[in-house]
Amino acid sequence: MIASAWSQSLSLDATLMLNVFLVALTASASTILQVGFFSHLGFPWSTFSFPLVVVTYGVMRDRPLLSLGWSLVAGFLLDLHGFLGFGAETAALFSAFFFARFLFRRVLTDSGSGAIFLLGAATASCHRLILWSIDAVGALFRGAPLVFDLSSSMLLSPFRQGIVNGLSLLLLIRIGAAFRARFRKIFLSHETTPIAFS
Amino acid sequence: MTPVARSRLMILTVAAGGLSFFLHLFGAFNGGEAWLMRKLTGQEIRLSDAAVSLRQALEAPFKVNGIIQENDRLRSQNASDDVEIARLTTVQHENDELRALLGFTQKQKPVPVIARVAARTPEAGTHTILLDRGSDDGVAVDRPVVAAGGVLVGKIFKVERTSSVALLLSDTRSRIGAEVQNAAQTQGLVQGERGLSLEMQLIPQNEEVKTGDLIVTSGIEPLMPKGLVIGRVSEIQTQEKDPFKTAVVASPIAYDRISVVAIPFP
Repeated sequence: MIASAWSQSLSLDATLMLNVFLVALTASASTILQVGFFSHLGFPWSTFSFPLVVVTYGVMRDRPLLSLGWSLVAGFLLDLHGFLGFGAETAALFSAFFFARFLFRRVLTDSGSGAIFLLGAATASCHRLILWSIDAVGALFRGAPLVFDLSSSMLLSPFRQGIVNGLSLLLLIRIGAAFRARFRKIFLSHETTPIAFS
Repeated sequence: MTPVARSRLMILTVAAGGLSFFLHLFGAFNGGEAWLMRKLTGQEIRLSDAAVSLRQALEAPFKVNGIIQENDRLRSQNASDDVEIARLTTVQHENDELRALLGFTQKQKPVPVIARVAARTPEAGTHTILLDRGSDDGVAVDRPVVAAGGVLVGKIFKVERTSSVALLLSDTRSRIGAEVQNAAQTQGLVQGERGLSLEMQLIPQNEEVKTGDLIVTSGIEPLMPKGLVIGRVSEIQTQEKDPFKTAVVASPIAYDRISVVAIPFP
């Protein structure tokens, strides 16, 4: 009875399935690009994270399924390549999504450039801190040496990733807004020039 | 989509993530993961080659002066290496004669496995490389990984059927038993320093170690052969009341530019 109610409410139509397929495809391709291509380049390309930017973008555009879908697919692929054990990246991306959602709904009061940058940067920093926490748990229970130390490079890494991902999110939002504004003018131009019948 | 349906899909997505974790824990995904890594590794190698080419093309204009200085430094180092090679060749000849005299059987060593670097660690703070060879090719955990003519760069720590992950020596978690190629064959432990350098620790204060000494593996670990080059001492750090001193080791290999490695068999 519960299952039938759920299936009715979900109504898995073709559009939803197509969206699921597109999310899986784009998340997979971008993750492979990130670990296989960008990781070999220097800063800032090696610090850029496709999944983090899209997760935060999904929060801003009120598309939580986009964010969670990317977190699931990209997190799975990153876990296969990662060092912290299976599930660490997926958990960190899910947590980053909920953190970004909380920030966007409860803390940030406008959608200006500063707020967008802050959202992207804070989400990236939160993601990094969660991975460190998972590493700390692994060090406690598995006895592995802790990676975290008080070196300047380690302490600056959340800020570096925050800056890169904050700017990337800002760029993505502004490009998307410009794209939509341009097409809005084209499609609605007839409303501003009323046709007169003689 | 209604808010209720959206909320339920969100819950389902998070639940799918948790389910995948437990399925991995119980080994239900092993076959699928191995197949996926096999497919991904090929693509990542192509991307890796493209990235390395792009990086080299972008850095080339800035490297001219550096190349001239590096050339001069390598010429002088080459001269001292020639002396070392001559000494080792003499030792090798003596070793061969002794083996022949005692009737040792010379075993044909298996050919090392050559592997391409497909990807690097996604997490900051860790320094690992994904290789396109796995247990099907004879790769096993704790085997050494060497680059550029036999310089040790890491150790295998995770193996799948067609891929494996190596922990680079420069990673903080890396520990290798090593010795200095001096008269006393001073023993110590080479540890990575946050991906930036290597340090040889636990060197007794009374042991003589100087800048330029060659550091090699001591062979005390299983599957790690003795005599693999790690680097040369670039600096000695001592503190008065400390029973041990530390040597900073410079590797001739740039760890962030490795693209092909070999996995020798003991």
